[in-house]
Amino acid sequence: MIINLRRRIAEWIQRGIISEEIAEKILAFEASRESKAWIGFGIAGVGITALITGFISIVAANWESLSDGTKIVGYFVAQSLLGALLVWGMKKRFFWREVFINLFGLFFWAGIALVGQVYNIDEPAWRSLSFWLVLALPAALIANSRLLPSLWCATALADVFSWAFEGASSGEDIMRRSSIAASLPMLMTALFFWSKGRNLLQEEFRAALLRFGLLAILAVSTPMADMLWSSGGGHYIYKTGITRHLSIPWAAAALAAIAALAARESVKQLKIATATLIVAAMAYLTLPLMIPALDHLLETQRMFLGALGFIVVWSIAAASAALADRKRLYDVATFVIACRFIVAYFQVFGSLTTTGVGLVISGAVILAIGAFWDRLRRKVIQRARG
Amino acid sequence: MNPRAIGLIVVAPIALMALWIGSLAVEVAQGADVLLPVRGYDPRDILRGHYVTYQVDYGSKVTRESYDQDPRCVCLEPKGGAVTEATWFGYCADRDAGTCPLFIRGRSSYQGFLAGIERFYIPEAYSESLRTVPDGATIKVRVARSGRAYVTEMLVKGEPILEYAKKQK
Repeated sequence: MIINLRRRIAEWIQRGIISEEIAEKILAFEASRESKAWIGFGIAGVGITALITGFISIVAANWESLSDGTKIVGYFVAQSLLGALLVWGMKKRFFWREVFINLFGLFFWAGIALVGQVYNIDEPAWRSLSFWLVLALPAALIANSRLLPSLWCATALADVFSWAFEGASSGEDIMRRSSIAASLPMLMTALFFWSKGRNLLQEEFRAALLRFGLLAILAVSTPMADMLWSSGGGHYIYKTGITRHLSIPWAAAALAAIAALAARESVKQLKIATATLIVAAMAYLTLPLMIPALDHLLETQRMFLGALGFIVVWSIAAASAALADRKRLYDVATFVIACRFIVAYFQVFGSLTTTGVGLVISGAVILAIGAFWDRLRRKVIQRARG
Repeated sequence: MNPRAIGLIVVAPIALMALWIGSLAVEVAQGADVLLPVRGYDPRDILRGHYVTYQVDYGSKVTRESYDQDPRCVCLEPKGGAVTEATWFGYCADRDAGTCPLFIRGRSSYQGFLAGIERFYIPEAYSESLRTVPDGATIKVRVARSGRAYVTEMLVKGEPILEYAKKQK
C-alpha cells in the first residue's frame, strides 16, 4: 500500500499539487499506522481453511482404535488449547491474533461433527448450523479479519433458509418460515447501519453484515420474485389468508430502511438510495402474493412486469453502488441488468426479428439513460464535496 | 481488550459445548435399551463421515403417513435381547403414560416414522464392505425418559456390525 502511495505522491509533487514537506508528512503518517497485514492474512486464511478441513476429515474418518470418550476428551483438549492460544495471541501481532481467533471459532465445527458421530445424531442441518452460530459468535465478534465474520454471516443465512424449507409441514408453515427467513437479510442490513455510527461492532463484522445482507436481498430475493411474477398463482395463496405472514419481512424491511435513513456518517443521497433499495426489493418480492388481481393479467404482461421490477431493483442497487463509490457492485449490477434485459426480450417477444428490433431500440434508450445518469452522478458528487 | 472479557469469549462456548455433551451423556446413560430391525444403505456425511442409514421396522402398528409437524410417538416394550415391536402409534399428546412408559418421540413423514435414529456412523475403513445394510440387521437403541432415542450399537444377526464388516473384508 505504501509503495502504491509513494508512486502517487511522486506524481502529485511533480504536478505541484503538494509540496515535498507535506509528502513526507503523509508518508510518515501512513507508515506509523498499524498495518493489518492483509496479504499475509490472506495466505493464513487458506492455511486456516486447510487446517479445519483436515481436522473435520480426521473426525469423519471415525477411527475405530480410539474410544468415544478418548475422542471427546481429545477434542476438548484441542479446543481449550486453541482458546489458550487465542488469549495469548490477543497480545501479539495482528497475524497471530487473527489466526487463533479464526481457528478457535471454526474448530467448533469439528466438535459438533464429532458429537453427532459419537451419538449417531440424525437431525436437520439447521440445528447444527444454529449451534455453531452460537458457539462461534464471540470469536466472530472480536475478529478483525474477513474470514470468520463472513463465514458467520453466510452460515446465519444458510441456517435460516435451511430451517425455512427443511421440514415445513404445510403451505402456511412454509409461508411463515420463509417470511421469517426473508427478514434476516433485512435485519442484518439494519444492524449494519445502526451500529456503523455508534462503533458498536468490529468493522469486519459490520462489513460482513452489510455484504451478506445485501447479497441475499439482491441475489436471492430478486430471482425468486421474478419467478413469482412470471408463474402467477398469487390469488390462490392470497385466498388462504397466509399472506398475513408477510408483515414479518415488511416490518424488518421498514426497520432496515429507517436504520439506513438514520445512519450517521453517510451522504444523504446514499441513505435515500439504500432505503429505497430495501423497500423496492421487498415490494418486488411480495407484491405478486399481496395483489391477487395481478393473476388476471396475461402471462406476457406478468413476465414484462417481473422483468421491469427486476431491472428497477438492480438499477437502484447500481445507483447506491455509484453513490457509495463501490465500483465492483456497480459493475455487477449493470451486468445483471444487461443480462435480464436480453432475457426479457426473448420472453416477451418470442421471435428473433421482434427481439432484435426491440433490443436495438432499447439499446439506444439505455445509452441515453446512461449519459443522463453519468451527468446526474457528477452533479451529486460535486454537491457532496460542497 | 479486557482479559476477563477474553476469558469469557473462550470459556463460555467451550462450557456450552461441554453442557451439550454432558446432557447427551446423562440422557443416554439413564435410558432403556430396545432392539429394532432395520433395512437401508450407506451414504456419507461431509462433516461426520460414513454412516449407514436405514428405515426402522417398528412392526405393523406404525403406518406410513404424510408429513406432520405434530410429534408422533411409538410405544415399546423391552424384550431383553429380542427384537421389539411397537405396541402403539399415534400423536404423542394421546399417549397414555400409564400403559406406555417407554416410548420414542418422532415425526411422521412420507418415509415413515422418523425419530432421528435412522443413521449409524461407521469407520471409514469399513465403508466399502458396508455399502448396503446387511440382511438381519438390528439397532440397539437407548431410549431416554423424554422419548428421545440414541443408537448405541448396530448388530447383524446379533453380532456387532464392525465385527461383521471385518469378516467381510
